[in-house]
Formats: sequence, structure tokens, C-alpha cells
Amino acid sequence: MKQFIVQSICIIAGCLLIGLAHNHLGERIPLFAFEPRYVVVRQVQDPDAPAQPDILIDRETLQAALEREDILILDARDHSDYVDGHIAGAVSLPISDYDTHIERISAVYPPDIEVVVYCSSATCELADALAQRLFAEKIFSNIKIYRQGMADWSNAQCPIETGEANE
Amino acid sequence: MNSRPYLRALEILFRLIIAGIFLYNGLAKITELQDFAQSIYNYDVFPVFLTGIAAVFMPVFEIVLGLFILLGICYRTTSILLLMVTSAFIVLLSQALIRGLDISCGCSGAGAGNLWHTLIQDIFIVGMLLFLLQRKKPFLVLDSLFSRKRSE
Repeated sequence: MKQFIVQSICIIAGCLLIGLAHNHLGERIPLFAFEPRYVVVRQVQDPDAPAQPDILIDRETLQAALEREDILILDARDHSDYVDGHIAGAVSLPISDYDTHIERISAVYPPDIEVVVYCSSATCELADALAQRLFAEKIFSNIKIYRQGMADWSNAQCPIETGEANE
Repeated sequence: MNSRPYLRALEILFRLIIAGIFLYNGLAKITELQDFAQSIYNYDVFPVFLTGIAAVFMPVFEIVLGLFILLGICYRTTSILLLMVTSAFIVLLSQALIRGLDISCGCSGAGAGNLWHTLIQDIFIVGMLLFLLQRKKPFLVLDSLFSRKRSE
């Protein structure tokens, strides 16, 4: 028992030290002041902007925006979920299969088009991860996240399409 | 019982599987700390101020435990720590599933890992670890090399 406690403390302390050193030399995430990603995405988009989550778009605004044609809606969920049902007019770009699809999508749509990214629901992180990547790689410059996602959209009985998109 | 060759083979196989999973997951996370911190945050369990330090610590911890179980360093301690960590993962994943959180587990990098798949995998890992822990004389471990030298 004594041996277990001593060895455990040594292993945990060693790992913590290595982790801190790695963080110090590499990516450097804040140790005690983590910020959820939408704020981070905001900062990537415009470093001087106040850290407000106005990168988010709500359902009403999205519905109004859908009437225009100059908007691209990206579904970050797995392709099978997209086929089961997606926001009418949305294009599938699963974060898990990003590399396969991004070249085709970026060739079709201009980089300054208004982009709305969504996934399943408010606790889903895929839309944030996709938005982060699109910002970081400068594929699109005007990205918003529909955080309530598909759950909210279908609850409100907004237009849904199933199957593959007619791109 | 320890001398049975198929049990020894099983022991080595289980160690390889556990080490492979922990090393792969740890290495996938350590290159994407920001994404891993976001995954921890999404579980909505930890205080936000602990998210960063947990994201810095866990990938290294997984890599070290993976290496130690593979090589047989601090073998029993490592096995027990792995058991504790995997059990904690099971609790974490279960609460996320019960609460209906629609998140990816973040177990092997950003956006990767289905909660159910990972939960089942972790239950198998617990089974394998219990098997390893009940072995009285573990096979091919570096610990035995040191203890032999000490006794000489």
C-alpha cells in the first residue's frame, strides 16, 4: 500500500511536470483561465473585437437569412445524420471527414460568403470545431454558429430535407 | 496457473491492447490541447478553472501509463492507476449519456470518439485490467529485472 501511494505520487507529479513543460514550450493553453471555444473563435476572427459571442446566430435570424441565396449552411455532423435529415439547403461537411470535402466546397463557394455552421444541439461541439478550422485555414471569413442546431430547428418545425443534397 | 502459456500470451496481448489505446489517445490529445480542453469543458462536470490544467496533465498521464504497462514499470501501481482512470472515464461517459449530452468524447483528439463506443471499450479495458491484476507473477516486466538485481 505504501509502495502504491509513493509510486502513484511520483507518477502523477512527474506527468504534471512534463505536461506543464510541454504546454510552456508548445501550444500554451491558459492553465486556470480556460475560455470556451466560441470566444476563441471570435478572437481568431477578429483579435481586436470584444469577446462577445456575437458569432452565434439564432433560429429566427437564420430563417430570415435562408430567403437569400448568398448564404452557405454547413452541417458538421456525420454524413449519415445529414442524410437522415438536415436544414433545407445545407451542405454536408462532417468534421470527421473534413479533408475529403473541403476542397470541393471551397471551389464552389467564394471565401467571403456568409457561412452558418451547425450540428446536433447546443451541447454539440462539432460546429465549433468546424468553425475553428475554417477560420484557422482561412477558407471562409464570415462564419456564424447556429448553436441550438438541428434539435432546435426540427422542434420548431422549420424546413428539413432528407437524403443527399442537390448541389 | 501462472505458468500456463496461453495465460501468459493473453497477459501480453491485453497489455499490448491497453498500451496501444492509451498511447494512441494520449498522443492524439497532446497535439491538440485546446481542442481537448474544449472536450473536457463540454462534459459540464469540472470547474472551468480546472479545465486547462486537466487538459495539460491527462495526455501525458495516459502516455506514461501506456508506456509503463507495456514495459512493466511500477507494474501493479500502473495497473491500479489505469483501473482508476478507466473507471473514472466510465462514470464520466455514463453521466454524459444519461444527461443526453450530444458531445463527442474527445477521447482520441478533437471531434473524435463516439460516447457509446468508448464506454464499451472502457468496460473491456476494465475487464482486461482485472485479469492483469489477479496475475500473481506478471510475465516480461521490467520490475522483475530490478527486484532480481536488488536481491543479488
